[in-house]
Amino acid sequence: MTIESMKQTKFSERTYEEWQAAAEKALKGKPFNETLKTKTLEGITLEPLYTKEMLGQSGEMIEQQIQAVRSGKQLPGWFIAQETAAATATDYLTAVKEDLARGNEMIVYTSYQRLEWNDSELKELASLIERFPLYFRLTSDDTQILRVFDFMEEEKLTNVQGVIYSEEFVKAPAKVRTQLIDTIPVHHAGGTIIHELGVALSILAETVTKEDFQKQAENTWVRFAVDTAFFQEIAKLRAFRVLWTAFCSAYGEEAPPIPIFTETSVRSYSKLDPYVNLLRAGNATFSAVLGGTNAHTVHPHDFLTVSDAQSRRIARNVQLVIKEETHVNHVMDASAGSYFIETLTNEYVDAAWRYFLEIEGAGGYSEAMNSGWLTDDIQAKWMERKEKAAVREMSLIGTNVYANPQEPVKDGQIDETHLEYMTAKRLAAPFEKLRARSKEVMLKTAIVHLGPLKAVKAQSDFVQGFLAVGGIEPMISPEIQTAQELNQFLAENHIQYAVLCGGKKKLMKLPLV
Amino acid sequence: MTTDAVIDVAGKYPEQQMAEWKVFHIEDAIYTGKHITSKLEQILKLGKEAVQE
Repeated sequence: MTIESMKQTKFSERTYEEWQAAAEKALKGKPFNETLKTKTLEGITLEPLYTKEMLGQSGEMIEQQIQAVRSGKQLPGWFIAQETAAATATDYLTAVKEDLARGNEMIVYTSYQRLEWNDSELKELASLIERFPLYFRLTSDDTQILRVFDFMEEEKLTNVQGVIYSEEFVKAPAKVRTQLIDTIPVHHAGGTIIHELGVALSILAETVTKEDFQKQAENTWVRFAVDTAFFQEIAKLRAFRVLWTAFCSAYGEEAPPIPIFTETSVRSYSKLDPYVNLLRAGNATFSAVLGGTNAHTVHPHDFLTVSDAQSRRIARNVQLVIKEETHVNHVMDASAGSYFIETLTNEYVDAAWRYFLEIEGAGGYSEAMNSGWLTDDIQAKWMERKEKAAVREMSLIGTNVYANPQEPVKDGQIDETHLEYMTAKRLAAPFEKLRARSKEVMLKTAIVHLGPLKAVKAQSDFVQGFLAVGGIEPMISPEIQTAQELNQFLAENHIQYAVLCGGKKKLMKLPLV
Repeated sequence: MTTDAVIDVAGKYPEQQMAEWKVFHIEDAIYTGKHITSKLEQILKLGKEAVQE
């Protein structure tokens, strides 16, 4: 067969029904819906296959959706916004310059460092801010850095770009946005995508007024944490842009673009097998990029303990690799038109808008928070999520599955001034606690084989993996055939806890009394 | 069995079967879908008690 004849090859068209029939046959009697459809925590059903016809049901809506995402994003690409850490302002400036030379694209300063600045240091910072956009997150007791604008000429100030979040009112240059719509507290409290999107709209509803709508919108930026549910997180960011357009329409306004700042979520980060955090970060970052982030931060894989220069470098490189290897930064909205992502975006838009109206019905964001209604709703979903990890419906590699009980676990903690991450609800936390506890206790455990290895291996491996999650390393018995042998094995080895493997038949044959 | 060890069995069995096995000191079962954090907490408590003794 030549390439020419290959080009002529035609494949017959298949209908969804034909595909479903083939899938059902392959499932060998397992129910189709229960096996292949997945219900998310938000109550949305993920289909095993999405078709053009399914997308067609939403028709014009999808076109508007794509348009909203494109006009919201405006330009392809995103800024790499890695946090720079240092102990003094001088060190910070050196580190910032080094980071910028190695691929960072924003000057990121967060108040957990609380640096003291003198005039010459601020002058040097000012010269950097003239060339690179800034990203400051400041607490009320750490606003010294804002004096940097005093060291800039009026003409240059008008070109300064970036975002500032401050607990206090900030007088910033015209192109620096200072009104943050922050969904990360909701995410860290265990909220779902619908909570995050609904809350973002309800905060916006409290923030903007009809009189000064455009001016306020142009001063607004939004922050999202991006978790590891790849497609859902893409759809989340896209849905926000659609919802923002709908929100503006309700005010009778055109939607000005709002920059979306994202960061990798620590909800799925674990202190156990921390290199897996790199995979989580890579996954979340690619989601953020495909979802249309404007600036993204990757938390280093050892962020939960104490990150070092090497891990911060790797974190930055996660973004550089995606940027340089995929060229996705040249594409405006890479997921546009995907049957799956468009459908999912549409479902999130519908559900989040309904949730937003529910919050407004409960008196708006502040009232819903004060009454405890919103907190309770978020907490209920967090309990559901936590339960899924506890029964391992949700896997955390190296933490609740494929754990290595011999792994030395780093003892460090997030710097206590990094409070928002310290208090974040994390799925791995109960498992980290178990692993730490296992180091403190002496426990002799065993897996008892009641048959030849070949017959019991699957069960034995399963139990070994189960116990490894708690840092427990059991002895493995030789094949045991009688109760006497069993008693002898347990007594001689001072076993305090044992699991019998061999199945019902073997157990019934073993005269246990 | 004459041992003081706590014994569990691998695999999921009907409640009635587990109740019958109780007389042979088989306490619980470990299987896919088992609540792993509470089970491991329970197991680790055995160790703590042993150290305290």
